[in-house]
Amino acid sequence: MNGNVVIIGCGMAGLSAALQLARQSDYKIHLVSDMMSERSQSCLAEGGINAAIGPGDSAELHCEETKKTGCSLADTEALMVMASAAPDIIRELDEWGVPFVKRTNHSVSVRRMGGQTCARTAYTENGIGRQIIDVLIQQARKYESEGRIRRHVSWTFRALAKQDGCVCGVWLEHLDTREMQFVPGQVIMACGGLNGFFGNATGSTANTGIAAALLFADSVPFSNLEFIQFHPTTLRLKGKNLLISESARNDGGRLFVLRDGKPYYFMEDKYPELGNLMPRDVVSREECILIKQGAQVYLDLRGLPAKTYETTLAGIVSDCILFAGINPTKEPIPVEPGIHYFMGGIQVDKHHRSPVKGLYAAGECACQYHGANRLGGNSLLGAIHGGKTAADAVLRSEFSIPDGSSEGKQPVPLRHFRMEPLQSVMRTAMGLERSKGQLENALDAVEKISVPDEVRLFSRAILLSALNRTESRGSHFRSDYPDCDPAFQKSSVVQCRNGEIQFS
Amino acid sequence: MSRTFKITVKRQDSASDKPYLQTFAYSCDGRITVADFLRELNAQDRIVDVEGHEVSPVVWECACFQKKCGACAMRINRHPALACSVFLEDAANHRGEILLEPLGKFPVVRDLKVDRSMISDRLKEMRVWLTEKKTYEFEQSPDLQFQAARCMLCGICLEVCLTFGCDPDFAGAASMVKAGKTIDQNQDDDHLQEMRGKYRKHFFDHCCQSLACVKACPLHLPLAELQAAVNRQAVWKKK
Repeated sequence: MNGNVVIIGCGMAGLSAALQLARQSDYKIHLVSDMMSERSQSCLAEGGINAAIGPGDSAELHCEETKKTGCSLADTEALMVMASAAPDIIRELDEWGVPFVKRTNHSVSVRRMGGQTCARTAYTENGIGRQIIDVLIQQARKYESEGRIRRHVSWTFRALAKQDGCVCGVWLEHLDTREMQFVPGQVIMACGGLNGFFGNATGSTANTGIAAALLFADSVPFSNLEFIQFHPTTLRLKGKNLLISESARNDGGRLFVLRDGKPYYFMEDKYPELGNLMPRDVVSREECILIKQGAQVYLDLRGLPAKTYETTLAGIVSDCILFAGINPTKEPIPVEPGIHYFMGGIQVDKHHRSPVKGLYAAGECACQYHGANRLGGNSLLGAIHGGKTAADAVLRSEFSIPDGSSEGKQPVPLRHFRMEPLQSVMRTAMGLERSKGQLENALDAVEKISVPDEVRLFSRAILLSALNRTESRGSHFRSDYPDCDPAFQKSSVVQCRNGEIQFS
Repeated sequence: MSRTFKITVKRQDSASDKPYLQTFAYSCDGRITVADFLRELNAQDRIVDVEGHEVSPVVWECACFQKKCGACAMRINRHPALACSVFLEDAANHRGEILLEPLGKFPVVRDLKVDRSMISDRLKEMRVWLTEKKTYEFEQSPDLQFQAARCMLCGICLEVCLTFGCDPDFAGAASMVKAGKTIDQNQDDDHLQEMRGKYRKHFFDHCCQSLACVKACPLHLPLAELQAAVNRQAVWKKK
């Protein structure tokens, strides 16, 4: 099998797709990114990666708990395929050299994360994302040296090229010189979340969301844009929020607010079974209620075993000291909910195909496994499995894009603009609690902000997605519609047709 | 307490243009990182230098703002460091002056952005990848393998190195770290022998052991220990 494939984004999903294609075919693989893989947001991942390999666990249970956390929006069939593939993914990563924490019999050890009833998350000493990216880069390096994978670093997505309604390549824009380049091929988007539309996310500022906006304006359908996960334990810094991983609570961290000068452990009081390890949306909302009452929420990591500070919590301890001057072994950490993950994205089927022929998506930019809320430990799994699945779909497609495909009309470079004014509008309206009034105000406000039309259009699509869902479900909470409405138990789909935003 | 910092940026419009200096005045309490300063500067509607001239945004690389991606490595008052983890009050001299320059051992792309692709190219040349993993009996402890994978290829170890850049064969500490983990994990085959040979040629035969890299590494990776482990595997171990 041969032909060309262009992958936009070189983090975990992009690398996973590239490796699958390189191993299974003779395709020419173009890996496009603004920076090298070592800089990708995947490197920041902390908690771990899920697979049903622990005692009492099964793929069925993994699937069921993922679906339940996502409030029944995700496709069960696709979820079951992912959950069943997960143990093999762990085995493969182990074979590629990820130093997972092991049990004495050399099998991979798992721990419990929020929203899960059994230990399911494989992990490394800390910073699992960097550990996995390291081996994926290494595997890709072999194919790069053979000329099978070609990297285009410092290039960014500008536009799809289509022939007879089918994607036949992309136009790329050079970040520094602004020159344009056409690369033929089917296209896999693996460009990450929409951090740039909001600012102060826990992830990378390089995940601007601009590629998503350009695709949306080009009538690519998106799904579930209203579902944004707020991580309950983030520490606010200047331009971003620092993530304090859920593993801190797994290791004994407790959330509290001060009541009459004494700590009140609100999660343990209200949810005796899972306590501090309830799903992220529940914890975030509980915090939100207390914050609205004027309380400061703290994460207490004091009094844990010394070895925990030196191993699993080492990164958290040193980050808090360096960036905020707070020593978590001696004082509680002030935390707040912060934007952490976008469950919505490019609409794809169970094979990660978008409705546009020749266009695929995987990782955070795609909408597939996480429904209304994502389970901790499922993002890395979704990225690796999604990348592979998208690659398999390319290999199964009945057409291929040869060299010398028609490139169509060359687009003009995107002009320089600032996202900050838009970010503050979006952050306010799309916070943990949304309401009709706030969302409508934001729709008015974005009209007056100077950004490219594609960016404004996509902002409107995000706001309208939240406005149209007149219920509360998972991460989406409407103060004017606080209850879950069975009539809304389906994914929203938004598409731009002839400049008009339409829902179906 | 608020004070005014004078932050000078060495700018260059393209690889072929001549560099020039541009100074910005910035008032704050000093508890802001160099990275946050650059982000705030570029976020302004009109960016003006200390003389009141409107200037273009400063080009630099950043992604995580928390010492996890390695993008923002630059020279801060001559010391190579990650801009996200250096605070203005710690970087400034007694007059509140800070000089920001691109790393000096890599080609400048624009302003503070350099082309570090030579690090990846070296790893390709040294054929650093696993063919098949050994099951047990590693020279490095699991912790040392973990530490090796943490290296972000930011380039700071190469910037301070006395040999890197002078000796064309020398690949520097970043390559040593990545090669070391792989040499340790790979089973005994032709590819392992090749990696060992490349390691000797591109690192062991040239390293002058100044260990400047050990002090400079922003992650404080145990570079001396990692080097000792890979030397045992690639140089001293009988085949």
